[in-house]
Amino acid sequence: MEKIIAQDISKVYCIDDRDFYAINDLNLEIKKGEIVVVLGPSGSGKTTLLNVLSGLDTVSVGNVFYDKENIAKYSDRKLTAHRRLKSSFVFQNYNLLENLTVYQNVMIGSEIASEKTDIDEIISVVGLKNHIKKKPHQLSGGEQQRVSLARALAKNPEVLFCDEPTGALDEKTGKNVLEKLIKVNEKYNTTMIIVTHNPSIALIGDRIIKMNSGRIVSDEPNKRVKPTDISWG
Amino acid sequence: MKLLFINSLKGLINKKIQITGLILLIAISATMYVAANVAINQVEDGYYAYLNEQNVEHFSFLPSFDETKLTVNDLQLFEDENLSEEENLLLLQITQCLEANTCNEQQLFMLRNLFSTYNKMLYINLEEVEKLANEKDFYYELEKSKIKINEKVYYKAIPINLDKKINKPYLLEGNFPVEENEITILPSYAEAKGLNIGDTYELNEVEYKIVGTAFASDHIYPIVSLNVPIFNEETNNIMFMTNETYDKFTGLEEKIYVARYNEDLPFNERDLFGEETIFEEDAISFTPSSIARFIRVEAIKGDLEPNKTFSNIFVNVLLVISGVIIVIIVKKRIESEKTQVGILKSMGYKASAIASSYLVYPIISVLAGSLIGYFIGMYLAEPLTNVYVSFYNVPLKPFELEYEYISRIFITPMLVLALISFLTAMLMIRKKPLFLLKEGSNIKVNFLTRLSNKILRKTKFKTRFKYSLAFRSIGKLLIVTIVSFASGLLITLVLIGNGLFSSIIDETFGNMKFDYIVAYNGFIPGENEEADQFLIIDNEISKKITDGKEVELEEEIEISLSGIDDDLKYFELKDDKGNDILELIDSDTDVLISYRISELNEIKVNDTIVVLINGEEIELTVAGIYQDYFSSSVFMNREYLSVLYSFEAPVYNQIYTTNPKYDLDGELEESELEKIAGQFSVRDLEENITSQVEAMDLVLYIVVVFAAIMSFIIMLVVANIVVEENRKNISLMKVLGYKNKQIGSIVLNIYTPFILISYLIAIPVMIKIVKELLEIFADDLEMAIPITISFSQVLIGMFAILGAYYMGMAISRRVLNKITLAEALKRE
Repeated sequence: MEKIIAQDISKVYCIDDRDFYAINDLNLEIKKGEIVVVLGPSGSGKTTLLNVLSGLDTVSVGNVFYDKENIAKYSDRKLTAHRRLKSSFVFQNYNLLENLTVYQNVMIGSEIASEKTDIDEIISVVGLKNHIKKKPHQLSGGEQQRVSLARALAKNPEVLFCDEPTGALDEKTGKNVLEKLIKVNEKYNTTMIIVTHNPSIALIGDRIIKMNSGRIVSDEPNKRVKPTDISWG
Repeated sequence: MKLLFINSLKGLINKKIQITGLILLIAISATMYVAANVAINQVEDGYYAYLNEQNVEHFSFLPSFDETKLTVNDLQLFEDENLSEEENLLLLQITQCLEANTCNEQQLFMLRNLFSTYNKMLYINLEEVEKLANEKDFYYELEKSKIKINEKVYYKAIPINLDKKINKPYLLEGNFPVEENEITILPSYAEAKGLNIGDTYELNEVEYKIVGTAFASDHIYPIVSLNVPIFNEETNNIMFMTNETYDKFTGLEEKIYVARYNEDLPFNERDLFGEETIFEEDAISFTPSSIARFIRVEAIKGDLEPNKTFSNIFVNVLLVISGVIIVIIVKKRIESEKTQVGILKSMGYKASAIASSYLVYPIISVLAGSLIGYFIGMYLAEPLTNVYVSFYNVPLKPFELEYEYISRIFITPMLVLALISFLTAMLMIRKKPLFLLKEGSNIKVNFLTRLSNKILRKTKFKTRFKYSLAFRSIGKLLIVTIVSFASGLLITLVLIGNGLFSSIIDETFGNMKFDYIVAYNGFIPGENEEADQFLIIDNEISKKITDGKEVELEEEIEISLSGIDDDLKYFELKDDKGNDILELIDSDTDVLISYRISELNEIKVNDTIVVLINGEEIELTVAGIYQDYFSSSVFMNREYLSVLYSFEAPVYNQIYTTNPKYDLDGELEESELEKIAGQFSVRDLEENITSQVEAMDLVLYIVVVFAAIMSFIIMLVVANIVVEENRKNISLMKVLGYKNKQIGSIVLNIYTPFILISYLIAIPVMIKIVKELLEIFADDLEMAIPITISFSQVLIGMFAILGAYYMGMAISRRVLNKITLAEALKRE
C-alpha cells in the first residue's frame, strides 16, 4: 500500500525574473516500510523533493498524498501538525540543543509524540546507552548524528526523512549511522527516504531514485546491501 | 515545553553579563520604586488619615474688610484697647473724616493697619460670613496663638482646648497640660534639644514643665512664623498650654477663623480651587496668614507627589531600557540557535511553544532583580521615611504590604518583558523551517551599507570595512544608538544635577552685604543713614510690549514694585556676568527685573511692562535683568515710585542693613519696635534654606548615583553585545592572522562614533527635560533655575560613557580571548 504519492508535482523559484524549476512535473509513489534512496548531483532537486514530500515546503503545482490526504493543500498550521504526528527528520548537521543532555535531546522528540515512546529502547537501538548524561559537545560527530536519529525516532514517526545523514561523517561513523537506520527500519517498519549524493550509500535502500535537473531519470528496485559491505565512495 | 525551558534556562550562563546587567537594572528600578513608594505611602496614608481624624481645617479666613465701607460705629471696637497717643490721634482724625466723608487713601490705609494690628478685622462683617457658611455648608471657629522669639527660637503658644471641632491637637507622648505652666512641645524640638517629659523649661523668666509631646494638627509643615518660612527643628517649637497660662504668655497674638466643610468628603478628593472655590467669595478674605496656614497643611503634597511621579517615571524608563536589552538578548539567542529552532519547527513544534521557552529571560531577570530591589528598597525606605518625618509633623501609619508594590515591581515588568520577549521570539520564529535551517547569515546588504561604501570609497579599506560592518544590521545599530542615548541622558543628568541647588544658594547669598531686612507697618518718611531704604508695594504687570507690539498676558504677573536709591550701600543688583547694573536705572521709568520674571514670562531688555497705579496705566522700560532665581521684584527709582503713589516726599517701608540692633535678639527702642512689622535675618534664612536644600541635594545625589550606576550597566551590556555580535568576524580575522589590537580597532570600535553621537544628542535633550521639570518645580518654588553644562563637563561625560563602554568591552573580550580559533570557527 502506498504511503506517499507525488502527483505531477513541480516546484518553481523565480530568480532574476526567470522561472527556475527545482522539481519539474514529477510523479512518485512510496510504499510503507520502504527505504528509498534519492541520488543525484548537487542542484538536481533531491533536497527540494524531500522537503515537499515531508511537508517542510509546499509544491508550486501538483498534489502530494499522504495516506490519501493531500498535504499540498494544507495550511501552515496543518502542515506543522502533520509533521508533528507523521514524519521526522535527520539532517546533515545534527543541530542538537547544546544545553541539554543526550537523554533530554531525545526527550525533545518524545514530548510532542502522539503516543509515548520508550526512550531507553530507542537510545539503546542507536547505541548511545553509555552516553545519556553527556552534552552534545562531549560527543563525536557520529554520536551526535545518532542522537539526532534517536530524537527523530522518539516521535514514533511513520516516515523518516534523512537529508545527507552521513554527509559530515567519516566512513566508519557513517556506516555505523546507516546500520542504525536499517535497524530502525527493521524494528519499527519505518518508511525512510534518504537523500544523498554518495552512490555507495544508495545500496542500502530498497529503491534507488536518480534525479537530475528536477526530474527522475531512473527509479529502480535494489536488493539491500549491509552498510558494512559497501565501499564508501 | 519543559525541556525547551530547561534549555533556555541553561543558556543563561552564556549570557552572564547581559543577564546580570538586566537583573541589576531591574533591581535598581525596584529599589527606587519600593523605597520611594513605601516611604511616601506611609507618610501619605498617615497624612490623609490624620487630616480626617483631627478634622484639620480646609481653609482659614478673616471676614472681608473694606475700609471704604467702615462707619464711625465700627471704631467703637477700639474702646477697650490701650492705644498709643499717635493711634488715638489717628482715630480722632479718621472719625472726623469719616463723618465728613473726606478720608483720603493714605488715611484709609492707616486705618486698615490699625484694624489689622489690633485684630479687629475679626469682628467686622460677621453676618455675611454666617450666611456664607450656611450656603456653602461649612462650620468655623476662632483660633488663636501667640508667637514669641527668644534666643533665636520661635515659640508658638496655643491654648489647649480638647473640645475643639477643628484642628484637634494630637498627643504623641505624655499628657496634655491641665495645670498652670504645664506645656507640651514638638517631638522634633524635644529631640533636637535633648528635652524629655518631666523636664522643666524656662522662657520669659517663667518655668514651664514639659508634660508631653504633641502636634498642632494644622502644622503639618510646621511654619511657626511667616518670618521663618522654612522649618528648622532646632529653632521652631509649638507649645500647648492651659488657657490661663496662655493668657499670661507674652507674644504677638494671631487670631483667625478656621473652617471645615460639613460634607464628609475625604480630604484628598476635595478640590479647594475648583469651579466653586471658596477663595473668590466676597464675604471672606484671605490674609498672608491664611496662605501660610494653607501651606502648612498642603505643602507636604508638593513634596510627595513629584517624588512619587518621579519614581514611577523612573521605573517606566528603566522598564523601556530593560525591554530593549531583553529584545537584544532574545534576538541574539534565537539567531545563534536558528538552525536548532528550524529543526524543532520541522519536527512539528509550534512557533508559540518555542517562543514561550524564551520567557525564561524575563522571568529569571524580573524575579531576581525585583526580589533584590524589593529587599534593598525596604531597607532604604526607613531612612527615607525619616527624611520626610523630619520635615513634616505627621503620625505614620504602620507599614502594610500593598498589592500595588507587588504589581509594579513583579507583575508589570514580568508581563511587559515577557510580552516583549515573546513577540520578539515569535517574529523571528514565525519564519518557515526551511528558512531557519538555511546555513549562514540571512542579513542582506542594505541601503545604509551601500551609501556608506559610496561616501567612504576614497577612505582606507579599514574605515570602509568598519562602517560596512556597523551598517550591516540597521536593527542592531539602532538598538546600540538608543541604548547609548539613554545612557547619555543619564550621564547628562549626573553632570547637571551634581550640587545644583547648593550652587544656587551660594550664588544667591554669597554676595549679599546686608544681614537684616526690616519691614515696617506703614510708610516711613525721611532717611535712615544706617540702611538702604526700599519702598515695596505689590502690583501686577498687566501687559508687556515687545518689539513695539503689545502682548496681552494670559494672566497678570504678580510683582513687587521696589523703589530704590542710586547710592545703595549694601544691596547689589548684578547681571549674569557679575556686573553691577544699578546704574542702568537712568530715568524715572527705567526698571530692572529679575532673571526669574524674565525667564518665566519671556520678558527681555528694552521690553515695556505696564502696571496699574491709582487707576492709571504706567509704562516702564526694562533696562536690565538682575541675576536672581527667586525674586519677583521690579526695581525702579524710589522717589518716582513715591510720587506715583501720591506721597509728598520719598518714603520707605523696608530697609536692608548690617546693624545688629535689627537682629531678632537686638535691642531696639520700644517706639521703633512698634513700627516694625517684621525683622528678617538673611543669615538665618540662608542657614534655613541651606539645610532644606541639602536635603534636596541629597535626593539629587541619590538620583545621580543611581543614574551613574545605570549608565555604566547599560554601556557594559552594549559593549558585551558588540563583542558577542562580532564573534564570527573576530574569529575569522584571527584565522586570517590579524592581531588582537588590530581586531579591536576594526571590529570592536565600529559603534564608537554612534555612541558618541548619541551622547552628544542626549545632552540638549536632557537639558530640555530638566528645564521642563524644573519649570514645574519653579512655579511651586517661585524660582527659576538656570541649567547649563560646561564644555569640560561634556568632556567628562564623554570619557565616562566611553570608559564604561571600553571597560565592558575589555570584560567581554577576556571571555572571547579564551576561545581557541578552531572553537570560535566551529561554533559559527
